[in-house]
Amino acid sequence: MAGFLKTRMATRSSGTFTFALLLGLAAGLLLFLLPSQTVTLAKGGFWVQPWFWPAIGLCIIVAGSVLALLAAPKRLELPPLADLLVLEFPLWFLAYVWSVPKIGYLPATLGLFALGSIWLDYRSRLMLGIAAGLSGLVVFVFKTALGVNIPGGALYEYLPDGLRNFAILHL
Amino acid sequence: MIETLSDAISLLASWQVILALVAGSIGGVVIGAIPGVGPAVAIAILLPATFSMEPIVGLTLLLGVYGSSMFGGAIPAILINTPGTAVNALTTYDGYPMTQRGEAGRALSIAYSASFFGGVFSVICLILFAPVLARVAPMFGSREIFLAALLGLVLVVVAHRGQSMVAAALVGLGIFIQTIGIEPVRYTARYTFGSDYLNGGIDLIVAVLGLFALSQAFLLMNGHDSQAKPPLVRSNPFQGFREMLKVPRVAPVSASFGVIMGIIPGVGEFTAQFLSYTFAQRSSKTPDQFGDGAPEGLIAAETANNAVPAAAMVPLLALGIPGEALTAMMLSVFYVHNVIPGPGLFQNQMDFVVALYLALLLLNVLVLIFLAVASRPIVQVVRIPERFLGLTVMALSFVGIYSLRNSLSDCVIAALFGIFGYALKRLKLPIVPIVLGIVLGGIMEVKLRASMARVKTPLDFIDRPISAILFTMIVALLVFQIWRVWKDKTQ
Repeated sequence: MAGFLKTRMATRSSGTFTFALLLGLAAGLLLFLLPSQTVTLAKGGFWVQPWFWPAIGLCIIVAGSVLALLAAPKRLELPPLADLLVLEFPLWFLAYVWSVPKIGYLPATLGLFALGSIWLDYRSRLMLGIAAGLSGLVVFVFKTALGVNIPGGALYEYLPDGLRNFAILHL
Repeated sequence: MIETLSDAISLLASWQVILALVAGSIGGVVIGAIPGVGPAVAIAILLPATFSMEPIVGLTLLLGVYGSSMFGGAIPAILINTPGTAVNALTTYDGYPMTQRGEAGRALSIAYSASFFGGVFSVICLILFAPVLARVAPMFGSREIFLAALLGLVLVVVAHRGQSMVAAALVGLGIFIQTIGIEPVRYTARYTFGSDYLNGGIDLIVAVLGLFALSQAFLLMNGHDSQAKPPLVRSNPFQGFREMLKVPRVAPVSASFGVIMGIIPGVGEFTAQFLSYTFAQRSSKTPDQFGDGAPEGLIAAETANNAVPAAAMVPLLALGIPGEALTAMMLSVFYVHNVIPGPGLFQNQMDFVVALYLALLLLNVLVLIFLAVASRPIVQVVRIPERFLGLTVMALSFVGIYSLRNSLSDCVIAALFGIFGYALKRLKLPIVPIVLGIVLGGIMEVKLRASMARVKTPLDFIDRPISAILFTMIVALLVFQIWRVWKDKTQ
């Protein structure tokens, strides 16, 4: 039980000081911008002023960050390189998002799974087969079965008539 | 009552609801059994897809995933010492040592039975308490709802012992995020920086998908595959009931802790487990065995965490105030379909409420039957490579975000939230305070404006019994927290 509590409570992670400092500084900057980013009404108490709730939120951030800074070990640390490498994955995600309206949901998803599997070193026939099958399943479940609002790809315009309508609606 | 019951049964007797029941219960178990996914990710991904479904169908699916994921989460916790969901962490303490002793089947049986008991107990409490709270709800005016929401935020800060200052800062961040955009009273822009996109504000779904689903995808893809090999076991969930009868006090008390912590906004499964485990250990004849394979410890942990989901629906249905992050997400399903939680729901749509109760009961039964026949193959899901799983979660997250408005900007914002959520997870800092800050902060802003119109002095704000009680609780909690921080510093 002591170990469980330690895991839940022991949060003096070495990055907490840096995190609290950055969060507090960002909130301080936004607080400085309050007059230019909000309006002050001529009439009404402070609780109806548009700036009131943003100010409350930002003041809580600043206060919480300052108290966390006082409590945390005073070590300014940059994240390790292994953590910075995570930044490639949002780019993968955005490339996928960008490609869907261009080439279509199925081709884009197939491309993501295939290229992603190869990049992550899952290059066996079994894993690539699973990747292909999974991409088809995802498209079938969400676009065909559940009818989720994902537009057809611009590339589908070049398909023959009958196939084009089917592709736009289901792929 | 009979008429309401038969209306409720006819609401449930459609193929869509039955499919949602089956998909939610089976899908939830499988999702829970896969370490690194969890119900939050699954619910965040499924949420936009449920907007086009009937509310009873969508809610059945989401609640099914939520409630049954903790059944599944016990599987890897017991077999390979890796919790399937975060709330199954305590299950490893006694579950894994039992596996090491060659009693994996027995441990799984106990976990399934305890989870079933907690789930059903919680649904019965929901049936009993929600209408009572709904009758009290008309006494909740704007002031009372403001103070109840504030109490929820204070509780979520206090509940994060050792991290309460950071939790407070993250609550503030959630409150600030929900103010971005055009404010609804005088239509003035707040922190939009001249951007048309930000004029519309930050959508809750975008923030939630980024913080929960995308961050988890990035975490998994940037990690390593664990090469877990679970032992082959067979378990009979019904055998676990006999084990529970040997220690009859543990399950009801643990379930009670789960229900209370589920009803109180901002608290949740961790506190419920901690209290029930502590009680079970202190009242046990063999307290030394706890942490070393004590069946009572396993019963306490699993009963408590499964008793929370249905109980968390009590404040949501009766007052429209979500108890924690997952029910906060489900609130959007209600609003999209113009079903407004609160006393009106119990007066005008009681058949819908009863249908929800029945669905929750049926889910627990379906899960137990499913585990009785399919426990062995489910165990194999722990072998899915984590980085491939991350890729899958990323692909699924796209559906949820892009389907809202077909907006690339939404995806960019979600990716930024994903990076922020990744940083929080790596630093072992909580995400839930941000979500509750967004949801409860929005409620507080509206209710404060409404209540201040009728208040002349500060004391008028708390001159009604319920508001006075809520205010006293908030002050007591703050005093308790200050005392606790001072005590921790001096020790």
